[in-house]
Amino acid sequence: MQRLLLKKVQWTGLLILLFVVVLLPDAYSQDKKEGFTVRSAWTRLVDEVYYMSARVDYEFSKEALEALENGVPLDIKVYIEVEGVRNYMWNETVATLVQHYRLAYHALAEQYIVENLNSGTRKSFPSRYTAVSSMGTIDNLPILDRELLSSDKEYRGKIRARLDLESLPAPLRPWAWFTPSWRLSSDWYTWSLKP
Amino acid sequence: MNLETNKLVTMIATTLKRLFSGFTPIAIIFGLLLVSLYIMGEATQDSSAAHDSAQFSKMYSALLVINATGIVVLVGLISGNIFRLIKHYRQGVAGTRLTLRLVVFFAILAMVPVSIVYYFSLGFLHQGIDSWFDVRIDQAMQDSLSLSRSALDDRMREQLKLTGSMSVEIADIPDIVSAIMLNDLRIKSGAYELTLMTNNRIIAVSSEDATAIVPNRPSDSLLSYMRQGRSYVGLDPINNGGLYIRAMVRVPSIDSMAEALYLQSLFPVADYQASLATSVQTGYTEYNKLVYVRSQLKNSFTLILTLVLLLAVLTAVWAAFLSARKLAAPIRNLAEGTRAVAAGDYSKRLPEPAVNDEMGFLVQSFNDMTRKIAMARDDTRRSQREVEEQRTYLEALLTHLSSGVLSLDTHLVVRTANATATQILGVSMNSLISSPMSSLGEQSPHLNRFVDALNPYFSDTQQEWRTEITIFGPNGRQILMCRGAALPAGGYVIVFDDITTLVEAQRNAAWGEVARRLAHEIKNPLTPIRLAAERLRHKYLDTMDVDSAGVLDRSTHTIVQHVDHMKEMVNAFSEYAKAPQLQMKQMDLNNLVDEVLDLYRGGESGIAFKVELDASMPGIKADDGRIRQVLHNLIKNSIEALDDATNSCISISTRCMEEATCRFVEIRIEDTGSGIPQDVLDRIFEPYVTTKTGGTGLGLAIVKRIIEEHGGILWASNRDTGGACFVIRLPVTDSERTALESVAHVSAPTSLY
Repeated sequence: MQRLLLKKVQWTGLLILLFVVVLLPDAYSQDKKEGFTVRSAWTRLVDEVYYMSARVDYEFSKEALEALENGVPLDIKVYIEVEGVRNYMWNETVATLVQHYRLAYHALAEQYIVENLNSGTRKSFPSRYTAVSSMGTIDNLPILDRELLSSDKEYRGKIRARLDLESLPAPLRPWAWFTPSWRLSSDWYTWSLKP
Repeated sequence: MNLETNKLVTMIATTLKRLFSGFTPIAIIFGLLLVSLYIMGEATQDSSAAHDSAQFSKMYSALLVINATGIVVLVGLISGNIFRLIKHYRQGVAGTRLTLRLVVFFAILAMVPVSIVYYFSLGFLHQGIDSWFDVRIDQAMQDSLSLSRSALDDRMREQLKLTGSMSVEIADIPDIVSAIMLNDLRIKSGAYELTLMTNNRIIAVSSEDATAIVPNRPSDSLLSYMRQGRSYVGLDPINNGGLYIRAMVRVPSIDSMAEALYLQSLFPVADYQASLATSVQTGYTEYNKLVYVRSQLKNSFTLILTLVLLLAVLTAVWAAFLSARKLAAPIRNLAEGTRAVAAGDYSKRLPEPAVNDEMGFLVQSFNDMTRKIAMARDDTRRSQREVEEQRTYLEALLTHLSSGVLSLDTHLVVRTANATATQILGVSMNSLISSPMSSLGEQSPHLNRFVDALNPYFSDTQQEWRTEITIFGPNGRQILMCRGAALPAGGYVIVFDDITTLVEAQRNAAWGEVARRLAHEIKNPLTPIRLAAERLRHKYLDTMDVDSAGVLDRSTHTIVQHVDHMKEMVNAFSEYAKAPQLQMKQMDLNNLVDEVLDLYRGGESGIAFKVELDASMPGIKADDGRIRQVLHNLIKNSIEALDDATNSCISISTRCMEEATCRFVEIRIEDTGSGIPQDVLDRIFEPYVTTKTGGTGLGLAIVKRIIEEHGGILWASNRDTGGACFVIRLPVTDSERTALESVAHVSAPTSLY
């Protein structure tokens, strides 16, 4: 009986340790204000099409910036979703959009390049700050036709940004999964979408 | 239809079972994991290649998860196998020790070389990766970049100058004209694109690419930089990685109040130069990237190598388990089979291995052996059953046989005896089985005579013999006709019948016939002879002279006397042969002896009578008249034997004796005469055997007959001190005995009593 109890205690201890190891670094990283934040997002209806604008703050961690300076391109995915609010069930997703950005450093030109992989446009910036703030500015992105929404329902938009670890060089990936400073992501930001 | 479906399903199930039970699943899992590890290795190496071209790279994480899962599954499988093995080991399941040994052996065999390869590979790998990087290469890369920059710097300065001069040319030109002007200037200068713009508005654009509708706008930060009144020149890797020189100057204006105008020019870097520059840029970036991920690269390779090691070792261990189990299976089966055979189960058949190797031969031989043993056992059982049946048959036969049968081995130990033997001998023969025949006499002393009579035949070499034995037991006198034979396998068989009644009946019949003939042939002529002799005497005696009359008188007298004697003799004989019905009744023997002796006491003979009568004599059932006759005959016989003797004495004694289950009374009559001559002693009770001159020779024969009719026994012997001794033994038939006898009669109705 005593042995059983001891075993139980050991297991509990192990679980707590695991919990601390996995979750604490996250909390710690949040303290350091690393990570992405969606400051604001809104939509505008022009000619029956919803255009979305958003401002995202990208605070890269030291490790991520070091990788960038060393020629590792960083991929950022911005997930935009429009969903119909349902009271008694999970919300109905009306539209999903992923904006895929790549931030890279061009050593020869000494430029930071922001590439929108959806549209293929590239912009170069002499400083990282301007490059990052340009990436964080989404202006008038057409997301939805009004026809797709019914007027008697309530809709809301969601947005979040996230560093895509899968686009990192393969050797970096396993390390990045288990390093909190690489797990950069914003919370979902929601706003109301009036049809 | 259903049968076919069932067959098909069974076939598919068998195929699947075979596919997933043997080495196939290991091979498949091993192959898949190996392929995925190969892809992972490729992906790791791809990290040095261009970002987009790495196809495998995208699968890296999934493959890592798959491999980890595969290894976890393998570990699980092996753990399960280990637990099962330990459990079986503790339970002492056959073949477990061998399996354990084989597993350990295989595992070590696989682990040692793989570990050595792993250790050295790891060392080489780390050294190899480290050797990619060198301070000098670092510097060279840095230098090549600087060199590229400086090569482009000159051209950039030129382009800035050119842009400056072009801006002077288009200064203060109306907006409408500026577009045409811009196009001319672009063609003249060789620029890719010229843009005239204000802070927030593009005034005119001229591009080499006619399809480009939207001009390449400078970034906001550049515009704000320009607003500070400075000029800008720099490299710009715009679309598709093409390298351009972007120059931007403020267009001079006379009107200081007018809105600031900027001219932006994009010059393509010359193809050759551009490709060189791109190459330098790519090389530098990739090198830097490699330097940056160096430690992670090492870790990744180590991880993959470790996964390969684990995969190899685990697969080897699993394969070791499977092959050990496969190897040990027939041995385990053999062990189980041997146990089964030891426990007497010969029906166990071992599954024969598919591969026809030595083990297969062994298993086959085992199966053959058990089959043959089983057959032999069945044969033995069958013959045992047959023997048993034969024995039962024989027993039944012997039980229902009216003869007693006794079989002895060479040491004269009783082997079998039938129920009739028990009935005839009056002892339970079943209790005497396996004991020597002499114990028959020990258990029942009256059978000593039987044993003693048979003994001489066993020492004899005679194959077959027959004899008649008379015993006196609880059933009275018994005449047993014994036939014996030596058995071919050693030992003897004795068959005996109780022929007492038969002999008596035969003798009665024979003597009856003799008596009838005597009466008819001898007694009948005697009367006329006597009458004729008397008539001769009567008629001629008076007419004859004295001499002749004397002769006639003597002669006729002799005839009459002899005829009377003959008559008497014939009467005695017919009395002997007639055998009247016995009048059995309860009587006191002592009284009878007294009564008979009273007639002889005090006679003129002067013979002394010594009488010893047992006071505890039980009453017996007998015909007192016939017993009286017996006593008279014997006493008379003794008196006659004492005729010319002095100190003559006749002693008569009675006593009750008990031997084993047999109770009887004994009358002993002894005299002090000359005794019985040895030559007639054996035949003294036969008719016409006599030592007396005037006797009929039937007295003792009649005595014997009466005693035998009473179920008793009589014998004569000479005393050591001289004189004859007659002993009579009569069975005591009390009520209890009678009851016992009646039970015996009921249970054996076919016996010859």
